[in-house]
Amino acid sequence: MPAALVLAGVVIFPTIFLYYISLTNYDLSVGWQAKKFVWLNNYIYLFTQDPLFWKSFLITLIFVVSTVSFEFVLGMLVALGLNRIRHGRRLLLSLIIIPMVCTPSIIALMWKLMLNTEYGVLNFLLRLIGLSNVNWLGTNMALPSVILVDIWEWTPFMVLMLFAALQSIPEEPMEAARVDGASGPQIFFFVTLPMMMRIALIAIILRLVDSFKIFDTIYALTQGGPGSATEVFSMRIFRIGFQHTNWIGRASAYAVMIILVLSPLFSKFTKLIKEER
Amino acid sequence: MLKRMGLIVVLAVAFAGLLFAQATDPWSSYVKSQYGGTTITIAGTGHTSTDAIRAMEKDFTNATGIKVRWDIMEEGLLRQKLLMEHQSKTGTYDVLMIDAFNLAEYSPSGVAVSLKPLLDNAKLTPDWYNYSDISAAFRNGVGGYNGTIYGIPIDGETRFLGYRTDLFAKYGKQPPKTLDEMLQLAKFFNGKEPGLYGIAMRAQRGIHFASGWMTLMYSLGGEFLDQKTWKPTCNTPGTIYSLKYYVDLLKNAPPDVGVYTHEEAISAFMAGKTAMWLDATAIAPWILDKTKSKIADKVAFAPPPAGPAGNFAALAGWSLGISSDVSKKQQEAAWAFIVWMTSEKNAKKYVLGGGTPVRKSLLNDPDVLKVHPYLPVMLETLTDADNLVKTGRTWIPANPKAIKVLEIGGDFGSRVLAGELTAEDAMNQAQKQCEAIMNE
Repeated sequence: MPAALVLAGVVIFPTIFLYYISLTNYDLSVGWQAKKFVWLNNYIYLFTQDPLFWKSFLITLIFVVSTVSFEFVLGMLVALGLNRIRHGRRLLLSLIIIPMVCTPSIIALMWKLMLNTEYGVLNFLLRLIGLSNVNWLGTNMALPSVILVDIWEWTPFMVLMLFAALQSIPEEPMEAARVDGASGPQIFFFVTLPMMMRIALIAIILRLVDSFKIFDTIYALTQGGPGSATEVFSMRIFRIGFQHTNWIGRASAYAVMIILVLSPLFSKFTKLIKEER
Repeated sequence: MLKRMGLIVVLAVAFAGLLFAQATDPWSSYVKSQYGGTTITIAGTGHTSTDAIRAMEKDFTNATGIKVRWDIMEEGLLRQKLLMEHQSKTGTYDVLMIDAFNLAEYSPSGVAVSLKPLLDNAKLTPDWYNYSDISAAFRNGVGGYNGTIYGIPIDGETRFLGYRTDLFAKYGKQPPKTLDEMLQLAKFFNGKEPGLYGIAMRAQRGIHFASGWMTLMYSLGGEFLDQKTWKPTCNTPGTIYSLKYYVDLLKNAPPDVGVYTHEEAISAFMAGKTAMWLDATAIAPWILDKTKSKIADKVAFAPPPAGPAGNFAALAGWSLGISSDVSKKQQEAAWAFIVWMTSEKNAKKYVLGGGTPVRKSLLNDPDVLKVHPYLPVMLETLTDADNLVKTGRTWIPANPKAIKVLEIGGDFGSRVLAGELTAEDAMNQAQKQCEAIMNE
């Protein structure tokens, strides 16, 4: 019963409230009393009148797919490397997780300085090797730069999860494969990977959900710009709901869309956890 | 020996007299008796004025017995927080730091109270306060909206041009008098020396872009809203022309200017990366601070150049207001804090501590001029700001929905800079959205 009450208080009520708000024209600067019920107008607006709805959806998709796939591949490589090391593994792991435990907004500000075209350390290094400055936060490079920062920050999470998965695999099947004459890549793809697949999937889903909700890093790094180059879905919600336009009703309709996209992922995640048990 | 003893006695008597005078100041005694022991909470943002006020906080608590607690946050967050706290009627904050950009937006739902009754209350507002000494431009343009006083200005600012005297002398250039000349100079200096760009301004998407653009918009014949009819004017030839000009100008700025707020813009100028900078007078002291700026002794200031439509400078700033969601006692204690910090009596201390001068009596004070040597140029620029008032307009349109229009304009303007849209397409789209906002 207490658990149900807590759940109702922190999840069910806010969600129902969100759906309700998404059907009103609630505006922070006008006030709660002045709001009106506008039925599906907010949804019609975002599908038909907001030129950036589909664009922000596409940017989010590019962001999510690139970050999660790079993080998975890099995480796997580092985890495999760590699995082979016998000495100093604990120290290396502690160092690797540093980006993950830092506050994302601080990381973004740090990267904003490092990516600065004129006095950033990245361009300084490029100049040292004779290359010219890259406009990291310009229109063309802003999204790859944001992706780079996310990869830097969250690959350690993949490393931790995949390393734990590797550690839990028994040695016998691999030895048997080796005896049967399987090559290194064959052992990895046909023995190791299938055995760690469940944990890998959980890690991927957790990162997918997290990556879809990305806000703090982009807020501090580019605010969704230049233009709309890095305006992911959550930035769009923020811009519409809180950044001067104050359209909480419309922003809620956007948030409902995010819930609709993320719900199947959550269901899959829960199913996997259940299977794991 | 006797002489020295005499001097000590005189000084001791004078000091005791001062202490006695302070202790017996009727205002202090009254405030202490009524509100002593009360704690007030201030919602503020990082600003030179905030630092100056905080430096005076101890004296205030000693004189009144009122304790002060601060919650300092980023500008955008402060704005959201004030609106949301007001919607929830939490009464978390007593004193509110209000950006002139948001004053009209706060007005319909009554975030802050009218300060007129408090100003008229002789017990709460002593003779040494002198409200009328605050420059009328700031009283009305920064702290007032629609004839109601919502805030007492603590920072009145306009925008002016900073330029590198060494580079201008080296290449035989004069500070620009017209916007055409400024664009030519920006083009001239852009890439003239390794790592040098023409100009630094703010251009981050949204309100920052709009704000930078507005610095030149009126002089170029543009505006977001017709301030008589409140109809959006985003796609008029003047507004489109002003956007094209601004985007052209920004092509001579550092390449990542699209993510610049005022902070990145001034940093680029202070690092010697640009030949010119056009932004807020309030942050000019940073440029002159040798510990922060590489160009502190190679810079001069000039009023913003005139455009084809005239010479209309900016007028913005911050004020201190009082929350409508707290008790009368808390409001009066909050007012005591505002009185102390913004009074004529303490104004010099505030300004010498880094605060921006808003009182007429201080604008020509020699001690103040030593700390703020750019003040004569700022005064000259304020005259240009008054040109706009003479045409029946204010720099920040006095309409609660104006901030939404500015945000939309800044969104689309930034997309032009990013090369996503042409100025015409962007402004036609902005016009549609702004019309919908104004018709809501």
